[in-house]
Amino acid sequence: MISSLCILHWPESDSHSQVLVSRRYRNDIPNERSIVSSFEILYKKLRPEERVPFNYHRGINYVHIRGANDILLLVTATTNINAMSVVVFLNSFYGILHNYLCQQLSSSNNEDFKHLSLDRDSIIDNVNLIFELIDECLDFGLIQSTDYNILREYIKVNVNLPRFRADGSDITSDESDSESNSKHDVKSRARAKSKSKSNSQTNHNSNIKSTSNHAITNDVIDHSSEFVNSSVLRTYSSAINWRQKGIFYSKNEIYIDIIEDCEFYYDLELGVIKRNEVFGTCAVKCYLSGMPVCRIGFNEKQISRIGNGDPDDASENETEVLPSNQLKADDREEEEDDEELESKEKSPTAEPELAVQSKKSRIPIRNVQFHQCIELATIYKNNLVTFIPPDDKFILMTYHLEQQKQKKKLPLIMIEPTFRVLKSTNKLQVLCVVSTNFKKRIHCQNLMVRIPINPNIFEVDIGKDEDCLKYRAETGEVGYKVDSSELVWKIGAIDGREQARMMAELTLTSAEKVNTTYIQDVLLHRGPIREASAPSDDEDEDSAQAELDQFYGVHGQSSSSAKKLTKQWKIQNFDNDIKLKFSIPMLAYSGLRLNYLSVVEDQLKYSCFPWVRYATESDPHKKTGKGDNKDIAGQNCDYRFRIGISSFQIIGNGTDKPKS
Amino acid sequence: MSDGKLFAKSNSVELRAELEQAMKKSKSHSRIKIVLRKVIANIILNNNELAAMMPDVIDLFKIDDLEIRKMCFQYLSNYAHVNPRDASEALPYLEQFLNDSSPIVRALAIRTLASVANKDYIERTVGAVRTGLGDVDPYVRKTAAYAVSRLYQHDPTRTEKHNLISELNELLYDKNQVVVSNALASLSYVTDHSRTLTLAIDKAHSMALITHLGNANEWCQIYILNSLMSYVPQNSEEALDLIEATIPSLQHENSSVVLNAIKVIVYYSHYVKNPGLIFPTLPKRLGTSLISLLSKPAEIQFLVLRNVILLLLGSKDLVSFEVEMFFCHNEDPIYIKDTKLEIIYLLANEQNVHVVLRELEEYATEVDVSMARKAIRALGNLAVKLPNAADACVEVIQNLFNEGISYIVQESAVVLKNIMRKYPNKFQQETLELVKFYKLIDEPDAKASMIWIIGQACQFIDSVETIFEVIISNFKDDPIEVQYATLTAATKLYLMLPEKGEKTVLNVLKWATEESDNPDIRERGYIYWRLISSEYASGKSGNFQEVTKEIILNPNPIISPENDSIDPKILEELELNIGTLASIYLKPVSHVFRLAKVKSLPNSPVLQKRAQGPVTSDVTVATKNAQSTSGRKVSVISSPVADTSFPARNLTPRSTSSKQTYDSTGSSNEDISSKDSFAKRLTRKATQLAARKGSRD
Repeated sequence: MISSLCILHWPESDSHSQVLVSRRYRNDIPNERSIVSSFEILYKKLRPEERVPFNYHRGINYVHIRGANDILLLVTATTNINAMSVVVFLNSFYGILHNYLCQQLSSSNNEDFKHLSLDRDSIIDNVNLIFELIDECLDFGLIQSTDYNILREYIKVNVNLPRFRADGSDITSDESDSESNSKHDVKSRARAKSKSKSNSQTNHNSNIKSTSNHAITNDVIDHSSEFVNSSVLRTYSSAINWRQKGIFYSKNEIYIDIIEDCEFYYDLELGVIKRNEVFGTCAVKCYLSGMPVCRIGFNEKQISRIGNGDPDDASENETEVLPSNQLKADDREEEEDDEELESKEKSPTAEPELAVQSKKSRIPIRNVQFHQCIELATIYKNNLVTFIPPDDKFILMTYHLEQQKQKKKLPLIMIEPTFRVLKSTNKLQVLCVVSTNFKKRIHCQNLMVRIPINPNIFEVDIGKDEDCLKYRAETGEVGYKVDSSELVWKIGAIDGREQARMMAELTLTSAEKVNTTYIQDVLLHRGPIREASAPSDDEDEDSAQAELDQFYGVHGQSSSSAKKLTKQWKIQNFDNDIKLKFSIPMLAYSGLRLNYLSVVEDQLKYSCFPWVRYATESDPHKKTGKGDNKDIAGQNCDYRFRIGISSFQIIGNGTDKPKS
Repeated sequence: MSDGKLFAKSNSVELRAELEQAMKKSKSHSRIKIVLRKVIANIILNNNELAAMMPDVIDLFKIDDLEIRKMCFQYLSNYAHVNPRDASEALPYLEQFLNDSSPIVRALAIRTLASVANKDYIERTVGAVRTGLGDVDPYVRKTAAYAVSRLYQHDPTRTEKHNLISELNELLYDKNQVVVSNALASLSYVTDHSRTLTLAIDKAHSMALITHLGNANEWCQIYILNSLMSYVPQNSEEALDLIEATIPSLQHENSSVVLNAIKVIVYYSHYVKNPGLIFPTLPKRLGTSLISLLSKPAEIQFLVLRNVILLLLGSKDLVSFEVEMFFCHNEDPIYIKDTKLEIIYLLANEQNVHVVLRELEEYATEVDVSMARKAIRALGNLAVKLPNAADACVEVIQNLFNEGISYIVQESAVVLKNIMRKYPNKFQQETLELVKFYKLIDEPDAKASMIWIIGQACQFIDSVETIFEVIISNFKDDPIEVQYATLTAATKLYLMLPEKGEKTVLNVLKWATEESDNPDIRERGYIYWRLISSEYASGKSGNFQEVTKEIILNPNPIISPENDSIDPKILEELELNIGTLASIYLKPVSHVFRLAKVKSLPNSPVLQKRAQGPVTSDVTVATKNAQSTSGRKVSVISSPVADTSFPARNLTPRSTSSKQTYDSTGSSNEDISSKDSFAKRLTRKATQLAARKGSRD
């Protein structure tokens, strides 16, 4: 039972926040202003590590979460509220806002709009809508419903989109894509005009669904005038409250995506996998008519009895007659055979990880979480996931896999870097070998290897010429990123069981102080560097003359900001790990597979087209905003390799002996 | 038109004019909407002047447009209390809406009526709610259910008098599960705030509720789960049934459902003898479902972690975790790492200590300094907690400080002092190693510890007097704690090694007595001075300073890892509040929420008494050993909440350390907090001894 809910905009740098929206439910708290200001005082007093989401001050509890762009959702309460519910609610409410204010834009199929995030302007522009949303999600300070799919049908207030400002009056928020999208601007403006003219919902509604396959919700009584869809009321309070009645698609399709995000950490020095986790998501896009009942079976029996510990007591009493499987089996079995064959070939030599799985060993899946549409009780009975899907996209389930127990398995993609310092010529050579350890038939796409060149060790000479970097790679392209001081090796596609090599050479300003102990120190973040680097920056050179020189690149000054950047990096703590980004379609790292799928609709009796897709990915930047519902499973999944001292070789007339 | 432009303070006259304009023009509805949005924007801007527009806004109820009406309703519920006279004008309209054909309008009208606290409104609400509770549409019934608790908030006596509560009770048997769960939520509000009413449900009804659980929406599930807590099982089978029925909820997508399900299970397992025997997999189930929540956003993780701590302290045998699950990730916010460290500490035992140590060592070499410090603290606390693993811990600590990094050395000093107090005379070699780095120490905490260590081990340290000279060189500028420690250590040094320490102790005592401005320091200085120079100091046998030694060089009380003990009563209450704010603060509910009811396990024939496990025995041991420790323990846990009191109980890093550091005289069990009386007591003891000696003579 919360007392009030506020949406604040509070940039780190500002001392005060701005209340964008606020709503109060109980009279036991002072007014919003004083609450917010006392929250500010309280918050500022805390040291950074104490800034937890829950604070208490003079009888009032403050619960907040931070969103992107300095948006802060704050809930206050005076009673012992169910904090978990509130936090979950705040997160999902943020997601709803995000969906409403950003997603609808992106449904216009324009790539540039995909990465919009919620910001101050978009909230202010839609206060009215947000009020409606709050009123629907909360009643008397108690949480009612946070299902976007339902709300979307329920509340159809027009979203005021910043980019669609029809009159073109002020364009403050259009920073990035004003030029590149002029074409789109025209289009969108035209659309916005038409929208403002007709002010009808039909037009808007058609914008929401991007697929060619439109749902016709024939239960809606009056499209144009009613701005609340009254049929939803019934949906809302019926047993299956995530799906409304009367949905019709001319072509019935269900897409099931099994996407696994890898979190991986390998210590090159010790040759040990420190972390190997898979965050799996089963996302479903569903364009089905009526009230279909879907059943899904996985190749893994234990999916239903996770954590039960005893895998053998699987009671296979499949008394219930199941509808026929709608997945074509032949294609899949062939693949499996192939897999087995392959594993037999290789297993004595390389112990490939897929072999382990194809032995039908138990996949150590844990932490399975199901969408509310799944009948939790029946999963245990016949090892099938039964559900009546909501319309459109949703996450059916997420799961988590610890590969910790199987540390001996080879990593999917292995990196062997070597840094060779040539003291005589002041050069740094970076050699890198990428090897892949999955089936040949599978391809890895968009592999990106980011090798850090630690500025605390190597001072790369960027200034003068363009050719500070020379490289040779068997495949892909190599570049040096000055701003983050790293080598980026991009490989468009690489097959399984392959190796690719690359060598890059960088010019250093000096290689004198580089020696093994020094590197070791840097790698372990040991004392001297941290203290030494900070004060060594001579700040006093910033006279106006020098600044101007630098700006125009005259008097021997270079206009490049590289120097400044490296300095900056030095002061900060530099991340020494090699990071990988890739995506491998057709592979589920965990070995999870869909064996069985059926869709049954009692009344309409249509046949549906199932599509199943697998992918294994690692992309730390994929997940931007919190409310991004597309791929929620693993946040910030890194695929990292820790560099050890043995990766460094120093060759030349230095004091150190060259290591082989 | 974007709402952003509406955000300007405007006054009622302007807006009224605009409204009139809008009425006249064509397409008046959309124009009126814009004006109303401005009004709403002004509500957010806290512009109370707009209450003057009441008649105009009420007039708009005539327009048959839901959006306009919604905004008018909002205006009304915001300003009705400011302008009660005009607000009464709206009543006829509301009356009319109550009989509207659209359930949305009916629900809105009830909601608005109930949220206005004016007298005439309240009167009208009673009737409206009563009809609303019997409405055909579930949405209206649901709204009416909340209207009851709204009304209760305004006027409890009237609500009870009109029997609305019992009518709300009827709704619990509604066939629609949304209505049921919302009625439950509403009732639980009423009972929470009422002195007399309590929510009690019977067996049949609780089973009925559980059947609703399957097909209710996520939030409704939470309300239902919470209300299941009001059922008191009368025998073990009932409790088992309920536990079994709740288990599927553990896999729900909504973390709150999961946590509340855990709460329910923990609650019911108090009514089952040996739940572990009947459900051997239950601890693992609970463990995994809690762990699974750790892949959620940081705020949720934090809450989960706090509750994991609570469960570890309270019902250790109900949950099982693998400590690896709580290893910190790079991208975790600091407060998560902190909490995880606490859990790692709590989970560490002799079996997994090697994994834990390796992990902690890694943290200690991490970039993040504060994290590194905390890891070292945790290492030290582990050494105190697990006697069998102490060697390994100290070895790790030694490896760390041997690198000679300043902050690691300082932290190690603090930690090693605790270890020395737990295992006197065990880790001399390591201590000597640490003392070598004495020059790196500058923080008060570390310095005080270091001085204490030197004082304690002065016999074994080579050229201890030169080290001491360096350390005390800026005695006068040191913080007071360091000065205390210095005084004691200097005296100890003198007593142990009179030749080496004489000069030092004279210097220090001179500073303390003549130059210090702090009366406490001065007083302590005098005491030491007198003790040393007393004519009875050497005792009967004439050994050097025998009596003084007896007073000052007493063995220290051995410290115990007092962290993992909270009063079982408080734990019990907290367990009933899993997932609430109290579970984060880990404080008894009544200390944070003054008006909250105290929850406890209701009595029943099958209520299992909490096992008198190691937790309680710890407390007693601690009390016997040192008053100060146990006294502080109480204050740590049950102290009234200070203003910015979070995090209140930070188990790993801080608690064993700071305060007890300085009862460094070694002579008594005094705490630093009682330092004023310390002096007195010390003198008393000295005089007693002297008197005894005199009488013997």
